[in-house]
Amino acid sequence: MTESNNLNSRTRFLALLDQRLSDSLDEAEGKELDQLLNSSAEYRELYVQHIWTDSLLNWELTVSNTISSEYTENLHSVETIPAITLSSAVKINRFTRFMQICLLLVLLVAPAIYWITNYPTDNEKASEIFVSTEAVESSEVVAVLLDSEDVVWSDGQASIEYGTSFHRNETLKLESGLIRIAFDCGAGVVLEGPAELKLCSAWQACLHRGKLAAVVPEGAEGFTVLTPQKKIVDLGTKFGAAVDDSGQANVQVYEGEVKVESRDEIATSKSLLLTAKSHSRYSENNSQASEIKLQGVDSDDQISVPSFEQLAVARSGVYPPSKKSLRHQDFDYPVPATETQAPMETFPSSVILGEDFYPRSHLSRTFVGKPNALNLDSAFARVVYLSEPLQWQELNGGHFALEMNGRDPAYPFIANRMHIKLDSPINEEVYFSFLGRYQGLDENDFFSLWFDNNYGEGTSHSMSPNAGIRFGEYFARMTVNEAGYFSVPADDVVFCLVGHLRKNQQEKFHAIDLWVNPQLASPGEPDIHVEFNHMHKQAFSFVGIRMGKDTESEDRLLFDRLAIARSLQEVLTSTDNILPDSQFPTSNIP
Amino acid sequence: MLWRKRKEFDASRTFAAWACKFAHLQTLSYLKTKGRKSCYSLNDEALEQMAELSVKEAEKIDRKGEDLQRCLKKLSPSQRELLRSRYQSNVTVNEIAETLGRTPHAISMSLYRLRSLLRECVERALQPEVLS
Repeated sequence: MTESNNLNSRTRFLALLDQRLSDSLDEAEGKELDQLLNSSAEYRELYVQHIWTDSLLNWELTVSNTISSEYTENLHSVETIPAITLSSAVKINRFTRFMQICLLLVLLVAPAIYWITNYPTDNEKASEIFVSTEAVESSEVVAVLLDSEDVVWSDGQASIEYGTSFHRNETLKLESGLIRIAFDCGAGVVLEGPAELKLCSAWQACLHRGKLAAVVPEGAEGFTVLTPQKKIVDLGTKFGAAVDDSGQANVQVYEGEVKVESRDEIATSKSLLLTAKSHSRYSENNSQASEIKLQGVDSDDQISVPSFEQLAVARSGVYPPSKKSLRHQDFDYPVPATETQAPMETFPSSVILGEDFYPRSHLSRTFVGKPNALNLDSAFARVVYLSEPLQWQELNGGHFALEMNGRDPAYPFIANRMHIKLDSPINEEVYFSFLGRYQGLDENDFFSLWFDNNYGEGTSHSMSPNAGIRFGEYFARMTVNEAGYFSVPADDVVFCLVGHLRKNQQEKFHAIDLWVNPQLASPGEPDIHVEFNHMHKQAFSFVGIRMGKDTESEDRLLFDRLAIARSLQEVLTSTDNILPDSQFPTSNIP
Repeated sequence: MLWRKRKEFDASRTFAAWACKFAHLQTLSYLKTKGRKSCYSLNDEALEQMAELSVKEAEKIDRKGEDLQRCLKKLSPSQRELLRSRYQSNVTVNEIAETLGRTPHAISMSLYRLRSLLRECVERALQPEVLS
């Protein structure tokens, strides 16, 4: 048998093995599998190993439900709100599946023992079935966390990893910020703090306080939001609901229809149909129903519900689509041998940060300064070689630059692409400059360089100084509410932004200036000046870049020559290009 | 027969090994007399080897459950979710593939690798006991 035949045979064997495990093998395929097993001792070993592992997983995950038990410790007590219980069909289905597995094992030589040795006597059997059913119900996964924006959980709850499963009757309490969750029925919800939401079932969200918006794709019609007195039944739509401190509800339909009913049994016959076109709002206290908005940061979308792409991925059970992988540029990025002789940009030795994204530049003897810990989201950011470097007047970015993509709609809304932990915090007034070029620029695109004291996947850094492009203009801001705008950037054109972070007499950062494409020889007055006297930050330890929620995954932001220094002259000074060492190390990574 | 006699033994590893051997012989007998006539076409060598391998697996089964629980906790959330979808929520490989926009083969391979990973983890956990 040739190597190619071997490969094909193995691939076929694995496919048949998988079909065997999912009980979808027909007679002809069964015989084919047997023939493969007859032909190879290795296949037989693999076969037995995977049959056993699969059976063990079935036992652990279906019957004893161990994987879920770690999440059940913080479950809240069941309230009186009726919840959709696990249907008997599902219970039977799970039990039947386990029985099928046991039967399969009997047929596949011997493993019936696992079942037999663990099988209880008749009395034990009855109690075990009861207990395991209870276990399945109490640990039923009903929703998954898709993402968050600057969320502060109540009770000092630490951050929760995206993709974390929530169980039936679990309560989510937010002080502030947004979270997005996908219900198991397919509906998506965005919740804005302060809020308290109980996940009553895979089809039912019980809103005790705060506001949410839900998007209900095809197949999830019937998704219901319960407020203390009302029941809002979706009929295929996008709608918002808010509950005030007195427990009274407001409802607004953005698309489609919802039915609002009283939860009082006597009044159940009275229901109200809300539609986006005619009667779109309802207020329980008979006042003028206010508009319900749940807007994400730096997005012009006022109802920031989960995307259909996020919901589709969540339904697969694997969210987020791929794990973020952070890399340290200096050690991980390959340098093509033919390009190691590209000129390396230099910075004045006095700068606080000089980053031209030259791979592993600090390993060169000609490197001046300290290496920075550059962390990239490698799925969407990378160091690339540019045959035509970014250049603004005398400032040249060199042949290596940072390339970042816009947001993929299946991924979380906050798209931080890069951050650098500064060798020592910025605790005095500083100037900064960088070169950029945005390819695929639309009027709702956003990117910014931020200064802050932390980083995290759900952190927008919108309450710290930012500079970049927002909604068709260059901008600089101290917080999301204190911003200035200037000029209109063009698509695929190099720009140079120069900024100044200023401190007040109390030694707190209170203002930002921005020059847009300045004359390097004489920059003149800044184009933007923004003050905010209530910022209490005295130092910054991190700088980073975030792409906006409304950017497209095909967008490409090239970014280069980031300089932070104590004087304007230092960040605008053009220094000589130098060639790296002849002994400049190349990477072993292909 | 084994079922009728089960109360005579506790669920010890010794019992498991004995029972497995019993089932091994019974199953061989069954397959030889009936199974092959219908849909099974495994030869004696294959049956013998698979039976022996299964006996070895059964001897370690008591410990494996506990170790598997520990190993499951070492997986990433996304890996756990894939297993949860497949085993707990009963989602088929084809359904997972369709939702993710991947081929069923790719999903099967992911599950194959996860089972292999878990198996290695469990085997590593069992090793000290074997050595001692």
